[in-house]
Amino acid sequence: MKIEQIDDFIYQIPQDAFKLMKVPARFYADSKQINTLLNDDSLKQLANVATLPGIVAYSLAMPDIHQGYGFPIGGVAAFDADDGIISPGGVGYDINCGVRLNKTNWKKEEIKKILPDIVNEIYRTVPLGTGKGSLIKISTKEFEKLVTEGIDWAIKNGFATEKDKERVEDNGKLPVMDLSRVSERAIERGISEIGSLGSGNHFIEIGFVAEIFEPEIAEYLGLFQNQIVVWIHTGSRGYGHQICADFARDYQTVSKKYGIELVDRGLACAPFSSKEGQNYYNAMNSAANFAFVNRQIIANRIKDIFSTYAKKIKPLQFDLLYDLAHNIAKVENHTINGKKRKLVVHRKGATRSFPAKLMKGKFSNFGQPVLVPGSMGTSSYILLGQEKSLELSFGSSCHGAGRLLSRSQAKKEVNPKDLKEKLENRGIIIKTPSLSSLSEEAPEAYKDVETVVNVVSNLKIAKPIAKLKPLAVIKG
Amino acid sequence: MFKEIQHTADVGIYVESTSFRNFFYDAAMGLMAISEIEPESNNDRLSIEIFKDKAEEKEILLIDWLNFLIYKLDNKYYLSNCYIQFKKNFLIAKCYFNKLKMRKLLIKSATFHNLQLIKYKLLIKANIIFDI
Repeated sequence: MKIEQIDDFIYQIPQDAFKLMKVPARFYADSKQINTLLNDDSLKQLANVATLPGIVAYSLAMPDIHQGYGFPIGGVAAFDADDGIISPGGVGYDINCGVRLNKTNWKKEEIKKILPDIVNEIYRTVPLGTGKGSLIKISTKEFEKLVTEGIDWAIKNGFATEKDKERVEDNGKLPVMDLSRVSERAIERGISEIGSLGSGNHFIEIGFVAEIFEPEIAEYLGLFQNQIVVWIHTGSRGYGHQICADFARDYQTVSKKYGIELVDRGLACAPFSSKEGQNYYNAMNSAANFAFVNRQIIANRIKDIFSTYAKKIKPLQFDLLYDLAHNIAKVENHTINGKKRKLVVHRKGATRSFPAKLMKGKFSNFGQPVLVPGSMGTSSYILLGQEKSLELSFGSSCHGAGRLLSRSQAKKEVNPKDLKEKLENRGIIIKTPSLSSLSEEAPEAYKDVETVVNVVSNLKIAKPIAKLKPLAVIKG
Repeated sequence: MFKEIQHTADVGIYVESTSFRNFFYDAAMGLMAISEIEPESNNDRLSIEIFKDKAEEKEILLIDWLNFLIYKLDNKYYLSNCYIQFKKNFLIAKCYFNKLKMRKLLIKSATFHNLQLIKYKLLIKANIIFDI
């Protein structure tokens, strides 16, 4: 494959590398990652995205890029809102899969004795794994309000506060004009999974602030050394999966109707401004709203569990630092070659990384928090979006470490019992409904998160503020 | 026949069969195999359901078929047997489901990623990628 180095950490597949490419395909990486990237189809998938109508500047991938279906994971693609497309494959099946980071006023040394009990209680009460389960029961009519109003619904029903809302991407509510194209099956799947974690790479992690790089900003964000924090990684569950499946199917014929030539069926799409495009946009936004509420409700349950131990430690403060989406398509205004343009920015396994000037409220001083969980047992990072992200990445950054090994390969190479023992010897508690699936999420199955963070930091897309380490992982 | 194939983030199967009927059957059994199903111990509760679908392309019928089975898995039923018929653009499948206790792998959906049912000599073959 023809790859050109444009600058430090910036690589490009030129437009003439493959037939039908309308723009180059660009990726940000460390030179030592290149060989790994050539081992699977991720760069070919990135080039495929560059063939889609209305794509602007280049198809793009972050340093955590890995092979997906249709679009690669770790990918960003911006399409003109008038002449471009929207694609379910550019968002993924788990619409608004994302992360939420809560911070407490407790310290690592204070929680040590009660941590196993807290972990057991979370494991026992939060629905997780491959089965169904819900923390709340509501009617279909109420469910429709939930997916239309997002966090506003959670506030009205006592699950969230105005302060929470300020700290959720887009205030936890994306515009939904119409639910008529959401299938009954999607609603049936979603209604029984509100407040559930799921399985695969979804997790709840209790960790602590291990290192602070920017003391002034960390203090502003309410972070301090050895502070206990809680990560939640999940998305829109069966509701989002069904919406994606329904539209990915319909778009097989819709793409043909609009004469869109596809190099892979996984790229099926519709003009954003068409009625089919708007139907998916509405349905996708409703799934994003579901996911914001899903993470909020799980966080409430965890807060309740922590609260029951407050007498043994001290009165609990359990506040949201930030909640963000990493599988989403959004309408945003960006300046391209000096011209303001309205774009549909697809982020599939990528995080919005807006600088201070585009943020409101608390984050208008320093920029949007970019939360980057590492693999199980490794460090995670809190970064803040920087100005350069608008120039280089449509205001986007990485979302995690990025997979390296296939799940079956990881299972072959890593013994789950040995892995659990190894992590426990490092003082990390592991709870999972399926020990055998633990290997799939082993640190060896992922890229080095430090390298990934180093790339976005060097490119000034996002600035590292603090490093977090795990104490307990509840794997879905 | 089917066999699991490597995919960095998701899971996939390669399916090769002598007819479309057999291909759809093998793909279904491949899906059940990668889901790593544990049947309910008292597994005599059999339910029969007819799945009907219409699409202009076999690839779309295949994804509809597999996503129907994923939906049944979500509702704790796994496919133990089926009889498949094609009539022009229609697929009709008589499905036998049993209750499952659990499955180790939750599959979100069958995907259209690079999906193409290729006819080669007497065989029909394709790679199918599932999102997990």
